[in-house]
Amino acid sequence: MSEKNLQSEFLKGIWQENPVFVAVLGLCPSLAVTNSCINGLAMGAATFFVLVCSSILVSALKSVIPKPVRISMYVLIIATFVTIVDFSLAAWLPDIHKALGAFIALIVVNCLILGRQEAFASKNPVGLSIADAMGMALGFTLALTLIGGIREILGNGSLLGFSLFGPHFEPWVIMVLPPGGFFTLGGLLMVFQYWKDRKQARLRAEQNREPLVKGPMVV
Amino acid sequence: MSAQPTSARLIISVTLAGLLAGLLLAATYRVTQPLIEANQQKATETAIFQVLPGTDHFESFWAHDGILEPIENPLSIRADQQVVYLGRDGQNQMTGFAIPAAGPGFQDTIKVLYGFDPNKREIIGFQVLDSRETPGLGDKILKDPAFLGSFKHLAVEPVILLQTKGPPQHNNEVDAISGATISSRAIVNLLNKNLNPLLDLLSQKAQAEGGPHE
Repeated sequence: MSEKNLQSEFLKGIWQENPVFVAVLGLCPSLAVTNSCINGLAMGAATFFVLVCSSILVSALKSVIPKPVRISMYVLIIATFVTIVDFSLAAWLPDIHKALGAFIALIVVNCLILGRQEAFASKNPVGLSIADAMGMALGFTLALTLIGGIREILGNGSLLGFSLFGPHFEPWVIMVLPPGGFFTLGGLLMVFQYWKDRKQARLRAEQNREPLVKGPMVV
Repeated sequence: MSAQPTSARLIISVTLAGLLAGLLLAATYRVTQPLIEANQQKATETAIFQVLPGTDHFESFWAHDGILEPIENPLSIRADQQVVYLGRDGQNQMTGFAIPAAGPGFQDTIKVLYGFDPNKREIIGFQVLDSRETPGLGDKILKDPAFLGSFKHLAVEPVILLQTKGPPQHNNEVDAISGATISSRAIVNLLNKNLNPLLDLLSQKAQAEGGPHE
């Protein structure tokens, strides 16, 4: 990734550097609010808004913000957007606001958002920062929706509120309780780690083969 | 940014940013606050109409020191005030009282609203407004049909009881939810505790209204 382009910056957050499954960031909301698919989706959407807006602002103001106080500035910017989301949800989507409760306000301390400001938006132009923020936020949203979906199907026998298995399904209640969050996340992390290991093993195998195919190489 | 910025510059930039953020939030607050309050008011109203069947409009009262003091502005209600809503039907006849109550549940405070008919001395409607009971077990207080059905005609005297074995035998018994006995008991306890000190007051008010209107 020596040359940065919009597409690769956008895509890396969704898969290769997925904030939850690869970087293992933002675990508090990933565990706490994912007891149903719609809650995971709503949390992801709220985070999406905050992350993209903060990245735009931080990237645009990066030459104005003095280095020694940059972290407090980032937190201030993030907190402002989080409060806007909090008020807006309470005003226009009261049911979602009730379901997510205190976790909306806790987006402020989601290390994924602060991490993207410090690691990316403060060093890159606005366009790239938007692509990076959107990719990361989308990856986060997908991860939360996936965890929420799995937990809702197993623990409640429904998906997005629609009953899947009829009245005779005995829900696996623990999956919508806190331990279910750890089980689901642990299982998914295992799957992602397995894929990563396999890909690395394949790459290594290819590298070892290369000299034989292309002739001697100076290393 | 090349040289070390002076502390004056740091202070000014953070202050400026804080000021801007404050302005932005004040603007958002102004736009959303009326909507948020309207939402809460609407949620309460919907619940009142649900627990008092046939209600067309209602009046709000603050029950304290043996009197019912009318509340003019519903937005002025404080959380520690015991509010009582008097429901009326289209002919202005009393349909009953809707009473908010709160008490300790299995995990957190359970907030409910129940409808009380002072002439029959029965609870005639019930709704959980807010609860954090265990999902899949305790949260059945929101939707278990047998449990909620107990509150259609529930005598409150001598005291509301919880029937944990089989269907209720008497009209002052609530059908407990299997697997959620603690949450069921929490509801029964909070109803008893909340209604007891209000009973006389509400009967007086009902008599002043002209008793049963058969």
